[in-house]
Amino acid sequence: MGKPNRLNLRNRRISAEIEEIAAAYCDGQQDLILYQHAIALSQCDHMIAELRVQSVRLIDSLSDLAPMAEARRGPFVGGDISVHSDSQQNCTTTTAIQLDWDAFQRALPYLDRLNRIEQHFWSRRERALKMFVAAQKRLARSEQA
Amino acid sequence: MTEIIPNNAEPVLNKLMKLFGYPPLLRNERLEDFKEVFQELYAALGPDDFLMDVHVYHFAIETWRMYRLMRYEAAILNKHESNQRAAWAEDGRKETIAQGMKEIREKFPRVSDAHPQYLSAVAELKTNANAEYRDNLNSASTDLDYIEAFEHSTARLERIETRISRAFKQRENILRQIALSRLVLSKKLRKMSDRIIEGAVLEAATASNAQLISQAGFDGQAK
Repeated sequence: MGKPNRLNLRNRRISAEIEEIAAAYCDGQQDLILYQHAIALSQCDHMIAELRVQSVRLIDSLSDLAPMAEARRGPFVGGDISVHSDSQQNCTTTTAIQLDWDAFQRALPYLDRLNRIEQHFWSRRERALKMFVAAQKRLARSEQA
Repeated sequence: MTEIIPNNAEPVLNKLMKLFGYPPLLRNERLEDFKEVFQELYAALGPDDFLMDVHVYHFAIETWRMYRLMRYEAAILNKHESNQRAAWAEDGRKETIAQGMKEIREKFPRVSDAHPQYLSAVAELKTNANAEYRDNLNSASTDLDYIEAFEHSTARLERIETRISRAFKQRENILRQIALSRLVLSKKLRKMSDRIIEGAVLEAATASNAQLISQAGFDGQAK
């Protein structure tokens, strides 16, 4: 029996989330093998979701907070951009996107790394999905028999 | 935009958000917009079980990501075009002022720089140059402006294009997975319908047999 240390408790918390997703995948079917494959599938889904959130957080954290807040509050008053744009609404949107792009550009090296990990989990998910579908088929056959 | 078909997309999305967390949106993106995208895709793909719901959710996120990158492409081109235009307008203003100053000096050759007539002429020139500058900034953009911007931003656009193709590929993979799930489900349903049909045929055969037996018994008795 493992000691209930902090790591275990932390793992248990994540595992509860994964188990919840796996239970939803199984949809009430009581089969251990199917459940195991559902767990593998859920782990990949959970990791992909976490990695996506991380990449968005990264872009957000690298975006310049002050101009972003300014862009959201209202259009720029004065300056070249407000003179150039057709309407104030367009100006705000364009500025916000450009600020986003600047942050995205700064985050690119980190995003590439996150993307590589995400791709790894996507391939793992694809394999897990195939196994899950095969288990579902097997279960359906055994139910029929 | 197509009319949103009333479906159970909203409770499904709420369930998925509860399980997987909120969709990855930037601070300037709205959850309501994502919900609308999900609703439309949900209505179009018509998932049948939780597995397909998850696929539609992933599909919506990848679509969202792809359009975000496309927005960035447009932003890069707009920014470059705007910078080019500003530089061009500024050059024009400087040139107008330089030319105008020369003409003013020719018009008032012997007056000092502090002379009121000279100063008013310079002020008028600056006002005209500023108005010209504003006109140049606000004039409509042409395709040629964007072609030039495109040529200058090719390297950056290529970096985004790579990511767009990656998102596109991911979407295709998800669509393939949806097709696979649908195939499995259709086989499952076909088997179920086969069993129902077999049961019905068997029931009908039993009934007809019973009828034949009873008829034979009745004929025997009659004989």
